[in-house]
Amino acid sequence: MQKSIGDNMIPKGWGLERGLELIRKAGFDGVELWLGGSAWLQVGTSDADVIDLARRVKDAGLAVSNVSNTLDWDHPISSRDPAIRQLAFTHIERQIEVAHLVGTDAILVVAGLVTDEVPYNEVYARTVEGVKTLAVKAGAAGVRIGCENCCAEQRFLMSPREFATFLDDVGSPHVGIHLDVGNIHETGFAEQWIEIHGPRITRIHLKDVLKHRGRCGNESVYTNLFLGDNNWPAIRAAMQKVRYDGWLIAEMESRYRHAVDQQFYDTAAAIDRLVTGRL
Amino acid sequence: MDFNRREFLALTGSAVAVRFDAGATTPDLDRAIAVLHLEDQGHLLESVKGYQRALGALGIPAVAASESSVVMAAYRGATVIIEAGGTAHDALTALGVNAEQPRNLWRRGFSPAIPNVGSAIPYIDYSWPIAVKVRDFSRVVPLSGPGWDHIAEVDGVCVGLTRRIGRGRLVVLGSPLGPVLLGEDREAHEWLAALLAKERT
Repeated sequence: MQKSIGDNMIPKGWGLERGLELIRKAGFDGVELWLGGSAWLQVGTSDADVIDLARRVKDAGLAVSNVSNTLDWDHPISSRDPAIRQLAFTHIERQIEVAHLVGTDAILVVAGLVTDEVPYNEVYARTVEGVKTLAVKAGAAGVRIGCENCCAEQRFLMSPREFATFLDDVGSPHVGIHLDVGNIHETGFAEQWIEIHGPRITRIHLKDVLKHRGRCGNESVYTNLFLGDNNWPAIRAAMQKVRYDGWLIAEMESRYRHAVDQQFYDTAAAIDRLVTGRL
Repeated sequence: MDFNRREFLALTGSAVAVRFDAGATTPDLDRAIAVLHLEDQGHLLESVKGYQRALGALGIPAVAASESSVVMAAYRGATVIIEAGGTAHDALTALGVNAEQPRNLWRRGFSPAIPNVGSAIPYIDYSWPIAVKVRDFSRVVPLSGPGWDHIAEVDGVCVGLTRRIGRGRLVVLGSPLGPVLLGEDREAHEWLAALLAKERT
């Protein structure tokens, strides 16, 4: 398995080159590019600049593990507003194009957002249809769409069987799950999600979660690897069971108040221990 | 094999058999599979349902069969899967299989390497006919026996055996597969499909 971390983790003011150098020196093999999350990758970034971005990543000794986006929350494909939905299609289609240009085969989308105004059933139907449509373009580009399980934040697809039914309803080999083991909170067990979804897992996001905090307050439930309640030996065993051998992508919150670069080294070392079973 | 057919018949009185792809009077059972679940604590129905559903998905119709047809099935070319439970060990003894008392995988004490909360799932590691990890079903029956090949283990403890008998094959499982099949464990289905593919070619 290979290790990656998001470019949105690069400390503010460091710039891309210095950030990529840090990622490489910390021991990562790749970087997750966040469309909309940095100055160097926006929806309007030209093909030439995207290709140049890929070159800079390669020159740093890294690969692009996948392309994610920060835009689905404001522009979900499940929106009632056709104009918002069009914006969603625009940025996800651009994600697919970027993935193709930088030479990776996976993108992450947060598909579907239930709100007090837009109810669950409406979101479900619209999201299935939207992802089906996007799957055609993804397939043509040789890219898989990984729908992330943001569970509580999305208020959508909160159980693994429900998520499997969603993928069944989409019914495309070009659509799977970008599984975040830190997003399952107190509603289940990450290792069981891994078992159930197996070959439909496109990528895995790693972070730990403090389940006792629940979702009732403003305090984050997320923390660095091994500081929370995830059962990491079980998660590792489940990955072995389903023969997951893909990218492990750290998606943390930047919690370090000092020596911010240390989080990269600590995270890379933690993933190494996860991979090698020194738990 | 040094067990007496009549004795084995007598000892499998509580077993449920499922026979596939062959008529009761057909002498050649090369394409048959039979399942004996030697368990009396409520897992029997789940196990049979699990096999029926899994085999059905493979396009193999399942029909009830008499115990005698199952007992002779292996001799006549069938693959017979025996799921060892905690109370029917005499039947296994007749087959030359030593079955220890069931061990709870989720309780401290089974093995230092299988601790409790915060530890790895004690998956069953099958090595034959394919290498897969299958979710445990809460407890296992350690198995051993001269002349039997080891095909599954958990933490170094053998929980699966196989050997040829007559024209067919016996497979003894110390961790029930049927309920796990019913639970849609993907690798359990892969294992069963591989067994069928191997024995039916």
